[in-house]
Amino acid sequence: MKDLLDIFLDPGAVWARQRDYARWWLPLVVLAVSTAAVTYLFFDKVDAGWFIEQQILNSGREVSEQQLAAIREAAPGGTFMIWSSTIGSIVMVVGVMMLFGAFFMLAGKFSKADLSFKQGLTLASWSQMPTLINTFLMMIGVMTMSSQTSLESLSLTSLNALFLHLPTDDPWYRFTTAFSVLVPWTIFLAALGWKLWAGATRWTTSIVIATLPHLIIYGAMAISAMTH
Amino acid sequence: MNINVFKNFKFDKRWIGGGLVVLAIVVPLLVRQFSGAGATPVDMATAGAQDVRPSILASGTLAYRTEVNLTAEVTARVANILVQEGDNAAKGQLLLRLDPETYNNVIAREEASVRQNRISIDRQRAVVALRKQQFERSQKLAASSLIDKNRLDEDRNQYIVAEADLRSSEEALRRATAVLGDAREQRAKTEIRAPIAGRIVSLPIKAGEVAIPSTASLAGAQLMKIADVSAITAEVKIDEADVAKITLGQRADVFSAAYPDTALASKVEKIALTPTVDGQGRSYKVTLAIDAPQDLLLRSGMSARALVYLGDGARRLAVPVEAVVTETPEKNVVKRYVWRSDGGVARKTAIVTGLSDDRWEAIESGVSEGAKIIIGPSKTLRRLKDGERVTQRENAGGRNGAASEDDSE
Repeated sequence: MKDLLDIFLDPGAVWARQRDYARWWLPLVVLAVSTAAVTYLFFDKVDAGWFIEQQILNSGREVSEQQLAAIREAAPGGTFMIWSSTIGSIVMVVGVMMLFGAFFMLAGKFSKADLSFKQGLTLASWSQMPTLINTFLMMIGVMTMSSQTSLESLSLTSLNALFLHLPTDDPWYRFTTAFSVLVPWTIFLAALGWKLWAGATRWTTSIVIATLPHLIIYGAMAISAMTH
Repeated sequence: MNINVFKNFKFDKRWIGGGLVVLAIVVPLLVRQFSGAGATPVDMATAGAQDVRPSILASGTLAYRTEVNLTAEVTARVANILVQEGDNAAKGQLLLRLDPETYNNVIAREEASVRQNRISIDRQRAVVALRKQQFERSQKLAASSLIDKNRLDEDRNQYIVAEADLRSSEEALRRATAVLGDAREQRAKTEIRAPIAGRIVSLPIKAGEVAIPSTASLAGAQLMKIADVSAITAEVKIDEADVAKITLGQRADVFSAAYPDTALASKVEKIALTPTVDGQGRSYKVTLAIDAPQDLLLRSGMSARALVYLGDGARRLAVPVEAVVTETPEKNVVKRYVWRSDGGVARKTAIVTGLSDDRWEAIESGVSEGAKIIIGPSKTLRRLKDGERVTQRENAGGRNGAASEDDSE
């Protein structure tokens, strides 16, 4: 449990300890549960009809007032939306972590570092712990928000919330809302872990490997924004 | 001692992580608090007194205030034309002369007829005098029984017949005199004179052509058009659905085809009482008196369109039309709202609207002067909710902002 705090304060020590007993489930559970809790509380509080209407309007489709009213009528009930979103968020967190874990395992194979999937998953989930800060801020946001607030606007560490304040119809809105200033921190943690575990002598390799999955995700979003 | 404290102080790298955590929590919260982030960007305008001018669009043509079409009353060849198109003419001035020869002949014939009748009367008078003497003599002889009664009756009868013949000749003279008068009148019609003082604006006929008395648009039917060019009007057609809104004296802007960007100030001068049926609909001719600047070369017959303003021209509290949201919560129930920005918080406010034009909607009640009204973007207006935080949009606020500032002053 000490590691949950030390990953922020003394990450080198955490990686040294985790190398031996690879406790991958602890951060995964913390991340999944905290994300699920925020999601549950958000959907419990948000105006369901309004939320669905916003999703449609933000998708850029032209819909009439009558169509919107019909969609509001046909919208699934609040409870269904709460639970489907909550379970969806858990699946999302676990899924992404497993993909990251698999990526580190494969990267290990290529660089002959010989990392197991369990170790890859440990590296992925522990390095993502700074995102807990955003989840914590979202929790504060959910507590104080009105019933008609978008989920994106609660992500206070995003580029958009901190610096840009782009409108929702801007093509870069999605990218700047998804990209958090905590991402470099998670990259640093993953790079540090890789350096220690794979015995890499140079930072460059570690940083490249730690950056690559983020580069793929945010690169795809940036290309989508540019071609919008 | 202080120096020792610093000497003994060992930097712990854990401080970096702790500091980062604190920063990552505090900075976003501060940014959110002070940047207004989270507020919906909107365009705003100030509710204020505006010139709300609802209008009716109509089309028609320009026309001089008084225009007279001169046509021939008799059929005759045009002998000579004494004016040219564009000439000014005084009232009563001789403009055109038709060939009077035919009418001169008629007059000569009728004058002869009058003279003939006068001679005939002289002859009849002599006969009457003779028959009168014969009858008086026969009366005396009959009294002395020198002639029989038959002879007396015969002389009386001849005297009466002679008097009747005289009266008949006198009537024939009167008839001949009247016919002569007619002929002279016809000849007078071969001289076309200006009925008003004005300018010759159209002169379609030429010397040598035959003028015919007709109102149809036949060749030779129209001699010329004379108009008072000192004043010009627009004759526009107003649809029957709108004509009830038009009253005398209402202001209008007329745009002629020659000066499509120049609004000619005008007033409603005449409204036709009967409609003109053309094609599919009925319309009423409305005459607008134009106060045209001297430097514009306006001509009769130019196409023109007119905006007839229905309001009384008074300034009234209004908001831009795009700010008014219309909802139909129930069938046949229409409710209108505007979104006010109440200290950065959107408030849905029910309003009662009055007159409107294509820019402003007058507010009868619901909003007071000076209120900040959210006017866009339209997408945002559709999704705004009561109590939502709003902020003036930076990049697009210029146009609306400037407009609203100018207009509200």
